[in-house]
Amino acid sequence: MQLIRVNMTDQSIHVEDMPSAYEGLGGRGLTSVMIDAEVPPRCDPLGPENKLILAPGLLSGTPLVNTGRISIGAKSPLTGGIKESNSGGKIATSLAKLGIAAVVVEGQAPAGALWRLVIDDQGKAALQQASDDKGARTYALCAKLLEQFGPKYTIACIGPAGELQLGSASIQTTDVDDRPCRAAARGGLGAVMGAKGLKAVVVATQGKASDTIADPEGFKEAAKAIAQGLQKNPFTGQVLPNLGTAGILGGVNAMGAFPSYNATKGVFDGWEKISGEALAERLQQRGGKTKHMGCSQCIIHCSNEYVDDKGKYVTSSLEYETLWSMGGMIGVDDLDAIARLDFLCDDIGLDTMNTGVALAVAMDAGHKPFGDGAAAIAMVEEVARGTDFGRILGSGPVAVGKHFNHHRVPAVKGQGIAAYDPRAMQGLGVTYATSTMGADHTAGNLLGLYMAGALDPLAAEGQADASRGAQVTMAALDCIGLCILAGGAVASSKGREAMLRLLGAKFGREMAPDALTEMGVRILKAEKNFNTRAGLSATDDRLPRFFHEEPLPPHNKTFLVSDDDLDKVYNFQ
Amino acid sequence: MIRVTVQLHGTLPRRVPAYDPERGLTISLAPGATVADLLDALGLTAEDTGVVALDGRVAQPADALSDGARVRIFQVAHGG
Ligand code: SF4
Repeated sequence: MQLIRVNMTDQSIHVEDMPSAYEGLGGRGLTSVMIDAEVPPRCDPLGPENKLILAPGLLSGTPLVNTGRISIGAKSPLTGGIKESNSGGKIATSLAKLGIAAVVVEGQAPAGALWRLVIDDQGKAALQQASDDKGARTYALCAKLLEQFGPKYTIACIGPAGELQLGSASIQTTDVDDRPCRAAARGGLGAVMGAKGLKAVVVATQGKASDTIADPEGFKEAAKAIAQGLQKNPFTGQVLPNLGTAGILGGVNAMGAFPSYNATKGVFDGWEKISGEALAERLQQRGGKTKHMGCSQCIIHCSNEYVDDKGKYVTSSLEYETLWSMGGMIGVDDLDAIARLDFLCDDIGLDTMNTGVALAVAMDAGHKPFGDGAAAIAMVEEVARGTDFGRILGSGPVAVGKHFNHHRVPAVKGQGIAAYDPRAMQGLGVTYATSTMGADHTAGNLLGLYMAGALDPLAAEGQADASRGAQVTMAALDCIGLCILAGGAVASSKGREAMLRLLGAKFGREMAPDALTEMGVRILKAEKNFNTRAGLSATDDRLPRFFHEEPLPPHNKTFLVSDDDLDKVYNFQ
Repeated sequence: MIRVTVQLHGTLPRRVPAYDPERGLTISLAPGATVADLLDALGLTAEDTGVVALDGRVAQPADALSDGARVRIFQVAHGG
């Protein structure tokens, strides 16, 4: 496998074999270990010393299902720490098929210059001038580039928000149907890409240089066990293909953990209008798609296609997190408005979650009323126009809180929370507080434990240990390139065993029983090491004060886990 | 006998022929019946179900049901 190093300062490109120090790493493992080793931790995230790394998972490009996930890493301009942002689509599988373990974007193009990186079907990379694409929104950009390069290419790109180098700027990747609707949304990595002067990465999908598998038969057999497990499991086999991630909404809301009206209520009055069930019904009536394959290699098909009342495409995929951030969090119970906001964010290149939380803070501060979908749409449009307020909004909830001098800002390390309130799901609070990524539900989500009744979500006890375990497992899955939604496949001891057999068959050696834990811990340690050297400390591993002081109805709990417990989460044996 | 109204969510409605999402199901149970008894009566296992919400609160399997109670049943889900 090879690394492609692209220097934006002088537009030179170097290809090197994977250094032995990075052997056995892919995805988040590779991005995080490489950033810890190569990026000066105190550097300006928007300066030439930062590196933007795109790495497919360790098993991306293999026959294993649900491995079409890419990790994009850099020092984050939003959190000031290390960042891995995960996306789907076709790019991970495409890079892996070209034998590329990572694309490392270094240096910085002169101000105002804009380039695109093209990697052809032989894996050869070249930079091309892209000044014509300045200011382009992602849908128009991708349509134009795919017309130019043909359908056998896939794209990762930024929109106006990335070019403006805003803290909520995403990197959008094209899905299986060539729309830029999958996002490495979190942590402002679109701003890093914009600061480098890189508008798009265009990659051939038909590579034939996949890494070898030492024992293809053994691999196939273990891969089959994982696929069968996913098909048999009621969540991945039934709920996700029929309702998408939106299927979670009713349950979380019933648990009083659906942060609504800028996290002042745990139950959203209008939840039945935006639930997975309501969404599926709407799409069935209008001829949209309730089930859609968003990413290569996927057998779950959690994606959907939202259409308007004339049956015309609006957006894909309307997900649980966006139904929350652009729905309950800002008091909007109108699916059409939420779908429009989702599309706008993808098109402008914005994290729907950070932007929704930023809107919620603005509404809570009295700038616009909660529930005003039209006002939310107008505010998001301001980001693309680059107005003063648009730039503040696009910089995320902390910037908005400062602007309005408003105290209730649900963010950790600058990053907005996700659709699980830490007062009603205390372990999610532990993950938000301690994750090296800032408030990030995907870093260690305990929803499954709570719904199965294995852990009391409202009590402080047991949350720190559960969060640590989930964070370690997630880091390993992000290294492998397995979609988080397929993570249940390795939750059982049988599933874990199958995953170890897969890794063993890939590398031709037997894996130790704790190999996945070891992998996860190695990654988290590298990330923590980077963050500490970047100047982050225990005081950054805390939730905002209001979570400790303002009880959340209906359970009327505050966040109860002690600082001592939080500080122990990253004490690995 | 007590009567409880049950609303099924996720893909659970598909398991009950002619389920009407507007009206839900009305189930009769013996006095003193618990949430666990109700799940039994519906033929749902721990694998199928996650949150059982009883009159807007999250219920435990041993919680007793009262006459006229409204129950919502959701499937186990993992966050993503
Ligand atoms: S389950 Fe959804 S997010 Fe995961 S790989 Fe499939 S389509 Fe992509």
